Amino acid sequence: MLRNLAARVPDGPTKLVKLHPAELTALLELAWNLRVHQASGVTLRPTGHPDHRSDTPGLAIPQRPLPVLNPPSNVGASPDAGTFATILTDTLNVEVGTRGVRWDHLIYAYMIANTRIRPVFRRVVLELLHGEKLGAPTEATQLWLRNTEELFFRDPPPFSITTITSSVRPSIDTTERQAHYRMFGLDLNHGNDDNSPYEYVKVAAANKEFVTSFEELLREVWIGFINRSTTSGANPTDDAKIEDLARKLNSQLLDRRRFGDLSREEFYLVAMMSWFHLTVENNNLPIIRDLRAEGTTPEQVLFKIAQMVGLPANGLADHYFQVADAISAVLIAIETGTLQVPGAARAFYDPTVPNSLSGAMNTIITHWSAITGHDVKAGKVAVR
Amino acid sequence: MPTRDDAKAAEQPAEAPEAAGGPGIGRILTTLDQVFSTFRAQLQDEAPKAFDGAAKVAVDTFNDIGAGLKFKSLPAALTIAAKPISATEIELTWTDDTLNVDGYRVRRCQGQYCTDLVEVRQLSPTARSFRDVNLSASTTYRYQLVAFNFRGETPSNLVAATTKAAAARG
Repeated sequence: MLRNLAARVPDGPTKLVKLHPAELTALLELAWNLRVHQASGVTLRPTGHPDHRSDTPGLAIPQRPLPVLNPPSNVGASPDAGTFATILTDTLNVEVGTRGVRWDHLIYAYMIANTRIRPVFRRVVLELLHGEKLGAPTEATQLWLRNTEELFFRDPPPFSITTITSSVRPSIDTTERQAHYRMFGLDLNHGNDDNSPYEYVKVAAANKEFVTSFEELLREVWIGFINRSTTSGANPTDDAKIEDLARKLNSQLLDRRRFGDLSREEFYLVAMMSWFHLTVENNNLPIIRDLRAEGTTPEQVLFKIAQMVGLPANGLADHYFQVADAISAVLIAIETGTLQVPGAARAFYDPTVPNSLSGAMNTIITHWSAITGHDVKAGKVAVR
Repeated sequence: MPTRDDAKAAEQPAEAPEAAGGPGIGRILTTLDQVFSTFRAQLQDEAPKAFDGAAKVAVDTFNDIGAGLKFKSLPAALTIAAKPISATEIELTWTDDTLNVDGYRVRRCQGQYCTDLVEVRQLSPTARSFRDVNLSASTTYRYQLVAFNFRGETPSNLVAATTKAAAARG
């Protein structure tokens, strides 16, 4: 979301974190307002479908320039805010084919959250705001600090689409975990900062079969991978089963999304995690330079920062960072319903023609095995 | 009645040449080579199968989702310039600060007004110039640059340039 948006502009991450919080909020509202993607000649999909996530309206934001600071600001809108807004709206200017979505799947937020990145940065924000243990933040870092606190660690503004806490559900931590549990039947792999379990009421309507179905899909796709060139003898690839598992996952995921349910939570959580992901991914951001936490990879940056604030990050953070993009795109594709029709299974595993889907599946299989300990490449053992 | 020792003795002559790398192992290797060459030929004969039907729709949908997540719209049409460098080289240059493409394709044909452009090179998204080499002297070539990403492709303007005359010998 914010990370991908920044990647479209030269030196985008630095420009994005310097925007005014109101401009970032406006960009989020704008992205939300572009959530319905109706290709010409195609019937609008039911609410919850990737091309029609929700009917809940956001705030009306003039596309550009973003006059959110003019007045009362003395300097007016940041020139870069218009650039980002243009990219958002231009993404819709596709004349052919169906349209993709503008934000990642909730699984992206789940994967990034599992690195423990948010609790780590909560401490960073706390230390920078309440002490000088990490040194005094420079002026450029103050902008990142203000934005991070405003967007992700304070009570959200009323009427904003990112407002997903209230007196009814006061804790963003619970809201986050509930969303993941409902969609995937999974909890985050860390508890409170003192490592005690995070207690919350788990709802009954949750996709507890998601992991079983997904791992079965990965296993079948792997069989397809290793037998893709088999020209003689039996080929155990089971296309019908792959398509059936895709259908199962499709119905599980869309069932949780009926009438646009969980869309606002997904939008906010994805935006939040992409902000932190963007932060550890860019060594030239002032916050990273101020902390002297530059590293070769995002997880190395995170490990350094985690060490500074005394809260260990997940040791498998590298795998979570690497799998997040691929699994997000694959689950969205599954939700479109195009992967469950007869004949589609080959697309999952056949790389004989340039095929980014099979590449993504390969990435997921590798990292899923690492993060769950379930070796989906191992053959099944029949139990009698 | 032959004993077990007799049988062993009968096997000996056959084992001995194999151990020494004689005609026995040679026959086996030849047979294996024939078997594997058959498989090799089968694999080589199998041309990459393009996706069609539901598999193609699935891959196209996935590509479109990937492009949407990366906020990629159709690439903007670029304006390119061509400049002869020598008798055998022409350089193309362009600017593109959109970070919206996954790569570029250079297409070329020979002649001032030719239209049969064919792809001569695929370039990375960071490329901002291309030097075409091994061309004929004093010959006009026509170029087009196609910017592409998962959303589609957009051709640039067509430009023509003539290579310099070959240097006189002696």
